[in-house]
Amino acid sequence: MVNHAELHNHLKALRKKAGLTQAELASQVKVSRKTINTVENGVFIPSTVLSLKLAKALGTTVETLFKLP
Amino acid sequence: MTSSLDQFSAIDKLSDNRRRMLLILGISYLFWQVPQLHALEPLINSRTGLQGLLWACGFIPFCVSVIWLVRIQSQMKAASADTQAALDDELVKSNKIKATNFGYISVFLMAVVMMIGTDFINVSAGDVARLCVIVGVVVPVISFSILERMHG
Repeated sequence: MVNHAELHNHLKALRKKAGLTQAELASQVKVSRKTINTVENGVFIPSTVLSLKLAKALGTTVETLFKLP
Repeated sequence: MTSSLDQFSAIDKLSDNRRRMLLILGISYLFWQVPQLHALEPLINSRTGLQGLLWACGFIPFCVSVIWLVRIQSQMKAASADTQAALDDELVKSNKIKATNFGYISVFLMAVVMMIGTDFINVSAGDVARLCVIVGVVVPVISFSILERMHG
């Protein structure tokens, strides 16, 4: 299982800043709400494609969204 | 037109139903198949009616869960492309791979245990094959269901 030690993300903060709920963001990137939840909690590391979609939906870059510890 | 929240509560509902039905399917398959092991004949004597009861407790829910899963599958196929994509997204695919790996490792371990165990206890080849099939079906199905629950 992937944990926070391997990847830090700012998805939750950026999503809230964009005024989106998990369900709304999930709808935009065509995944389930659970997937957004697991990414936010550091349980699941998304693929490059999903990372790019998330960054695009939030109007940011992948580097801003995810950072190595 | 449905809002994204409506759409996603529908996705969550379908996903939860699928997870629950898979859990019922796995457990009921266990109840259905385990009493049929010849090695358990002294414990679950067919004359007491316990074997029949356990068989019914397993077989009936198993059939019901299969019918429900087929129904859920048809609902998924009838859903929009976005809903279908969300129901089989990369988290689900990752969970499927993990569950398959758990099943593969469990069958492998079961085969090793049986190879060693049959030197000490008398187990028929039919029972060994049945046990491997039970583990091969139950472990991936239940572990997928648990992984889906954990990530809820």
